[in-house]
Amino acid sequence: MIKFRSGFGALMIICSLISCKQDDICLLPQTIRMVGGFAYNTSDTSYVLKDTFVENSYITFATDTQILKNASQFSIALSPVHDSTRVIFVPDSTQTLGIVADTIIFRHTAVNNFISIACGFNKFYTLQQVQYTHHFIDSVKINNNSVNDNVNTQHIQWVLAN
Amino acid sequence: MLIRNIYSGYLQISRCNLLRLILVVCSVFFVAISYAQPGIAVKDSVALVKKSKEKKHPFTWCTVGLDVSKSILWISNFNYSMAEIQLVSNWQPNVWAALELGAGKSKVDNAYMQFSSTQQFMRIGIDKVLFNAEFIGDLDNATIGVRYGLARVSRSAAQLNVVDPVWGAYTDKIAATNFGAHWLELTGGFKMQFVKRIFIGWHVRMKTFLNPKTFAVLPPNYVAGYGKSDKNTAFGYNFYICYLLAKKNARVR
Repeated sequence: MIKFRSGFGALMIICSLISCKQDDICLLPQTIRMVGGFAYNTSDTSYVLKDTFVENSYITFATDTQILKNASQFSIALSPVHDSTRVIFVPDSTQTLGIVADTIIFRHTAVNNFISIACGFNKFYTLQQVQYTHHFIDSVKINNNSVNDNVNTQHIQWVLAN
Repeated sequence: MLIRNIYSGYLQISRCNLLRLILVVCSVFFVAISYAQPGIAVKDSVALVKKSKEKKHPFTWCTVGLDVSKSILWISNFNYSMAEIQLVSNWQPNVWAALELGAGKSKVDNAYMQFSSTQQFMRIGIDKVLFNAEFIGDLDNATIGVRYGLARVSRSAAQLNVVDPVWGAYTDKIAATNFGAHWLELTGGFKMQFVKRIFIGWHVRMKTFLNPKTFAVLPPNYVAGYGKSDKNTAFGYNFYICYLLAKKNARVR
């Protein structure tokens, strides 16, 4: 019986020494971004896309501006408070006078997504529609309209004009 | 200055570390009294008889237990508190029936969200006794068991605050709601007599939700009886102090 009681006490000690996990620190990204890539159409008669890159461009939306140097991909944080996001695409960032740019407007819906108690919420988006100008962009293709925490998805392709 | 540093250090003890401290102190205490009372072993050996042929009369005794570890939370001022009682009775010679009841409340109040919730729960299940009784009326034993848990959760409206590095800060709300939760548990535990009619018991538990999608929108910080509800699998423990109730003809100490 003494062994039993000793074992009982030992088990309590072991269980009580289980490490305390600090669970009020948020280590996860809280902003969901839509990922896009550049492409061009290799055929004059059909729609055959091939990935490409831009040498010295930038995109701007909200307060964010991304310089794209030899970049084949970009990411855009969609608006969590509006149902559309406007993006300006300038293909030549060295241009200082008479800037010519394309405007792309993404229309989307958003739902709250619970991350954790420590991190709170972010938004998952569903792309509904894309409108754009045609200075340098031939078309915008939606590959996947669900913008969520899957970081391996390319949601859109900007097909550059030849 | 030294006193001030010690005092500020005391205030920084987390809930988990406080529980660890209490459990270690309790553990050392119980191990110490086990060795400090050799008379118990002598008494046990004297009382040792042939293997008990316990009559197959169910529910001749019952222990009513209070989960002391949760009661400490209840009287403290943490974001989570609950109270739990346990009823255990003999159902079969080597199988005990268990009913556990409790209630709790939790709140979340951080930079990202503020809401509170209350919960009531019950668990029913059985414990299989692992060892034979050493003498008639010996209820000291180790057990393994299963439980089915059921809880009613009431969650207040939640205020959400999001600081988006690109779009700035914004707020949102999620409406109040009531919902149910149920889960399965595997348990392991010990129970031993401390003094006449008073037992202490220990349970460790592994739990898994049967309806995890219910918690996808906004889970409470804790669900009483289950634990952290943003995890589909949770681990928990209980430390009970129990009082033995028995029928007159029950063969218990």
